[in-house]
Amino acid sequence: MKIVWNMRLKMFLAALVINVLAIIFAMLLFYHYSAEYFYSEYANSLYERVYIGAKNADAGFQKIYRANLDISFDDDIKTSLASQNYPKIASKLKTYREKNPLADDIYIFMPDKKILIRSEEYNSVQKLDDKDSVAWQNIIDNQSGMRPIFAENILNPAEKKIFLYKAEISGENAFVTTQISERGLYYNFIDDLGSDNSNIALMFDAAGNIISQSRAYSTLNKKDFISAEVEMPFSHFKITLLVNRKKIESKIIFMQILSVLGVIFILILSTFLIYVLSAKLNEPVENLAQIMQDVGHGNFSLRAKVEGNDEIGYLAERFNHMLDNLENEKILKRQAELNALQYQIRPHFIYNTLNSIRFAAMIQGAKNIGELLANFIELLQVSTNREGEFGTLAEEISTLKKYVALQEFRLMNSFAVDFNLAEETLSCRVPRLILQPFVENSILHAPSPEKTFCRIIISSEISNGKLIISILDDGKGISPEILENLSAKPSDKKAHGGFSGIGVSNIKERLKLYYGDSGEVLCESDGKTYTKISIYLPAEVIK
Amino acid sequence: MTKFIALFYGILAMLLIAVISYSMQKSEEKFIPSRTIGVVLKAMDSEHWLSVRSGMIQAAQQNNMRLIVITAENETVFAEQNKIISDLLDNGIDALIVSPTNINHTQEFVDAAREKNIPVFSIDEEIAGIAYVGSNNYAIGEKAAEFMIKNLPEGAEVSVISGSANQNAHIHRTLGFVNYIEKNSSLRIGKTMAAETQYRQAMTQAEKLLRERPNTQGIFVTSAIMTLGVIEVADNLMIVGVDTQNDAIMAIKNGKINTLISQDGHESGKLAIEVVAAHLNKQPVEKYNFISNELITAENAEEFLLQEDF
Repeated sequence: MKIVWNMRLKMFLAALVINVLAIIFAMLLFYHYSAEYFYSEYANSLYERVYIGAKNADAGFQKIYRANLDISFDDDIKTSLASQNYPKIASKLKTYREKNPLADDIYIFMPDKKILIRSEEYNSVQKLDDKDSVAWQNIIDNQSGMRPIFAENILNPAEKKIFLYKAEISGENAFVTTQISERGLYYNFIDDLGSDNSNIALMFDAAGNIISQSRAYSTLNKKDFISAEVEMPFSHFKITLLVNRKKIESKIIFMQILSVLGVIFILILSTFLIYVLSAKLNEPVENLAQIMQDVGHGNFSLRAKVEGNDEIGYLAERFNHMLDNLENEKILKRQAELNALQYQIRPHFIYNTLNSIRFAAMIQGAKNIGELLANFIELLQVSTNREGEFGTLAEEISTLKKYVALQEFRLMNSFAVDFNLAEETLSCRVPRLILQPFVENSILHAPSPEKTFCRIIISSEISNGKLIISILDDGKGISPEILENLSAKPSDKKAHGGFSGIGVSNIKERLKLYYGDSGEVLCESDGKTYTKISIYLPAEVIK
Repeated sequence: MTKFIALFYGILAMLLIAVISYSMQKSEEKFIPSRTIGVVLKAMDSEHWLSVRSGMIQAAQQNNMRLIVITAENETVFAEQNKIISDLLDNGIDALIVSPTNINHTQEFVDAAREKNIPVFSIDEEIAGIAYVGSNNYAIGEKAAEFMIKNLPEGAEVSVISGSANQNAHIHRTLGFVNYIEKNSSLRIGKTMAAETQYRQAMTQAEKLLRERPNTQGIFVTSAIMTLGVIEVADNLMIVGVDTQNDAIMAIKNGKINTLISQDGHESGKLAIEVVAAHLNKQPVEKYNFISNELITAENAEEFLLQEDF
């Protein structure tokens, strides 16, 4: 099928292209921002979760720190230490431990006596051997202030991992330590965060070592996870929650599909709308085109429908206007043709009348008048002849002779015309009635009071491919002033009594029109005894 | 035609920008508060301090700061408080807000903080040379005196039961009260007593006072918790207290306390954090940053009751 690139299609396609671009752009933007928003919201909620966990864990540490400090400032314990009432101290530690469920156990260690008092029921006061004493001393030496240390409880048979706070009881050389078991802390604060299988919760110390975790971390590729990390201001530990990207990526993919479906839906809808719209907009244009086509086929009675005040409406209106004008012109043209026919009838009437007169003259024996009338009729016919601007020189001469005969009848014995024509020039093509005005000039203006009879010689020859026709009279000639005037342009000419020159300049113009520069008229005169007009034409022989 | 070309290039540019902005997707990082403020308060056993902490936490969130709020066991244990402060100064804080339990033992941590280049601010308790946030305590005393003068007959005998003599707040309140009474009225000051800022102590002090000076017509008590203790034993006396806390305001509504000079803990907590934030942002900070102190009476008690977050 051949696609017709009409306005409707072009408009439709243009609108469609812009529309598609705009929709894709908008959707891209929408998708981008919604995805970003989604990510940031997710990260926020993740952070929020970790933040709360970390806050609670930090509060736990702070509470243990405070409890440990309180014990070190406890006056009862101080006095009991002084009086070496260790079992009382142990029971006091036990009550402290009960107040702080996060505390795994509480020790008071006296390094010089190597005595350890524990918050346990069983074996609460121990004498440590040298090795344990030194080792424990080394461990607790590492801790001071608010940052707990992460260590192994070597005094516990199970050797579990612990967080530890230490405070010195002033003046007694005894150290209170409170231990939090790593698992205890984990299940209290961290386990919740990593409860999902795809999540991993970790706790790091200030140096970046993992101190508590939900499962083995080292085997994982960090790139697969989104992480949220919160540093705890009190303990300076960090809790990190890793969430598998896959978990949210499925949601992102769902969003992608949703946006693509949205694009497709809007595209289909907008395509339909654009089609309807472009059809609606193009209707007047198409109507106008159809009307123009029909008018082109000759149906001038049709008119375009003018719709709306826009360019198309204006076009339709102007088109109708043009059709109206055309129709008017057709009527005028017909009128003109009729008039022209009438004008053709009139000369016939004149000829016929003149012929009747001529015959009447002949019958009445006025042969002379009859011949004159015949000449006159023929001259009239030639001058009104519409067919052909050109004729042979022979025809032109014959016409001229009739004219001369008529003038001879008018102006008896004032002139005589001689013809001196070369044989080969007679069949040459010349514009009709080209000689008559010059001959008329000679007949009318050549005679003078001094010389009432003039001789006019008309001659023709071919020279160098040019037909030269000359009219020579022996009359009074033309004054140089008038001669100059004659060769000027017709428009510059002033009206002049006697010799109007209009006939001459008319000839000049005609020659210029027919032949351009190769046709010309030359006038020569001495202003006293002769006038010679020479007409130069290209010699064209009519076969 | 040129318009179409311009349009085309425009759309192209738009798409390009979209693609570029898409490829420059931000990584999911959240701004983490970068500053940590250490706060050591006197105690957490009264409503006042709870509301101070609440105001601080709220203001810290707005200013993107983290708080470590620690309190001593009670207002008497300065050694423990000083130990806590020294541990806190070692724990990488950017500023310290202290309400010292004992003004005679502050030099130690003020020096330590100066050495570590950590700015120190005091709240509710003035420390020499340290920016202060809280009530204008002298003015509180004057306000209390003004109220007494207005509501007691001429020549009446009034006394003061003050909180810890180791705390500037109580000393200034007492001073403001006594000076104002002596200068501006014919009232007589019976006795000024100091006790620990605790309920029980205030009660025994009041008993003692009424025994010794039975003509007492008005008592100015410099803390709300003590006022609550005093009203246990003192009936039909003009009682004026200090602090904005609900149990005491309820006592005003019940007619047991005549008036309280307000001291909104929430307001001072908030103001303290704002002052610290201004200082950390290199803005000038006043030496004294007072909160407003107003009279709470039975008429406007409801208003102050509603101000609390509890």
